[in-house]
Amino acid sequence: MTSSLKSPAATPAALPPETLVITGWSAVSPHGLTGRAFAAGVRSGAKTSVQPDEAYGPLPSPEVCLVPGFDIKGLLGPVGTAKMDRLTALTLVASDGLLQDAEGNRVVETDGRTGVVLGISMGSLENVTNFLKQSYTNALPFHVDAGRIPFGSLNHAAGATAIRHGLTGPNTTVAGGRVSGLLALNYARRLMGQGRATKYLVGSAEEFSAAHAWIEHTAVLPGDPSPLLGEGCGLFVVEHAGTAQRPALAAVLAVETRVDIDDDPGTAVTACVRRALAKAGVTADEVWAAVPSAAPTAAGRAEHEALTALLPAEALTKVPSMELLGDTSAAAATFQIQAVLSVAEGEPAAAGRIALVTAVDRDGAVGCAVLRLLDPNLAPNSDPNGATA
Amino acid sequence: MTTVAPERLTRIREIIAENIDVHSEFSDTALFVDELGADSLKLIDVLSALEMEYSIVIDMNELPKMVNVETTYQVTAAAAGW
Repeated sequence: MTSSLKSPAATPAALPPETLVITGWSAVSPHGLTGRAFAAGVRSGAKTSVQPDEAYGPLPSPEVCLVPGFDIKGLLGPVGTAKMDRLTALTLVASDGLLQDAEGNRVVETDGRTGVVLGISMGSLENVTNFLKQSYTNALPFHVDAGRIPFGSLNHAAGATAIRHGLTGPNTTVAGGRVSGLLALNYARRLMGQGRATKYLVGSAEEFSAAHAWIEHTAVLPGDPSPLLGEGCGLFVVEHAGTAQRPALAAVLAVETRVDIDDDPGTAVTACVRRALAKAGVTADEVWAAVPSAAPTAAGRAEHEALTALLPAEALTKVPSMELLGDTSAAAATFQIQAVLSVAEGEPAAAGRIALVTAVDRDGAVGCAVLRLLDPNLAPNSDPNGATA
Repeated sequence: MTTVAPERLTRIREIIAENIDVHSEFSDTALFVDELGADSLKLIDVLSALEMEYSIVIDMNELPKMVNVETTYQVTAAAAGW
């Protein structure tokens, strides 16, 4: 084990200028409504599961990891929220936390080519299933709440975020389940590399609802308990290292995805991680922290075993297990990266180290991101000796 | 002119307020588009919400007549046979 002996440069100046860097993040999670609450919750290893309100009706699992105090109208105001789905609301609150201070003043500069890419699984299942139920059970099939139709489109949360903050760059939704946070990050990296956007809001979101719980329940193998579900939205601001306007927290060295077509997720994760490390130009021994998705599935267990075989043992214990947030599905991979950033924030020795995040989905999608943690106290484009460019 | 049933008028006002997204007082003659800021999508939301509430069918040709609470009540009453 050699990772503790390595001390790579922890400044954006040491990176090629086109390297994607994370310069801000926010989280609306079972730990609370802010990134600060998330970081504190992750570092303390706090449990977030609660007994759900009776208003949800019968549920397949006795506990759930909900965003506490998530009152849509209270947080976003009465206008436009009467029929808003929870997924959109989670995303909008996270975007406010990312771009604004507590008083609502914009603190992140954006321009006409700032894009939004959001990872989801199936959108707002509650909205869609309620709509279908109305169509099947009301007097006539078109006796449905038309005001909810826009919220049923898969791209609504990403579109509403762009409209709320005037972000006119590329706007995209990527539906990839647990891997979607990494797919979204890769999407942003690719489009910025092609010059189609100067900056991106990128992340992923999942809402909890009874419909979501029962659909997940149907996918459980016989004998396995229904999963403890979570919800939330994590967002990043990503920029190029050469033009970043804010201190960089981490550099995205590689994002690799593939599909497990042999029903052998362990082998797929191993190949994906090896490829990602090779693209990043680092070795498995250099990985300081690794965060698997901790999905409560056979694929999730295979993912953990693959990382255990590949990486230094201490890397897998640096960050508390994502199980503490419940299965946050599409939000998971973003929360995993944010969990690494949270732990790194409290450890000065983390700067310059390598972090690795993996995700697996039941449909066979596999993903891996390799990051270099940076020292946020150093200004963007500053040289390692402290002179600001 | 239809005889107005107060409890139905109250409910129709609630449906209009919710679907046009109005959160302050407005009169029965306030124009949805010009005074309350409604767009065409919200007018269809009002029509479909009234259809669902009263299990009726309102002909789309009636939509242009639904310009305020008063005329919306009349169109709804005609469709419902009140």
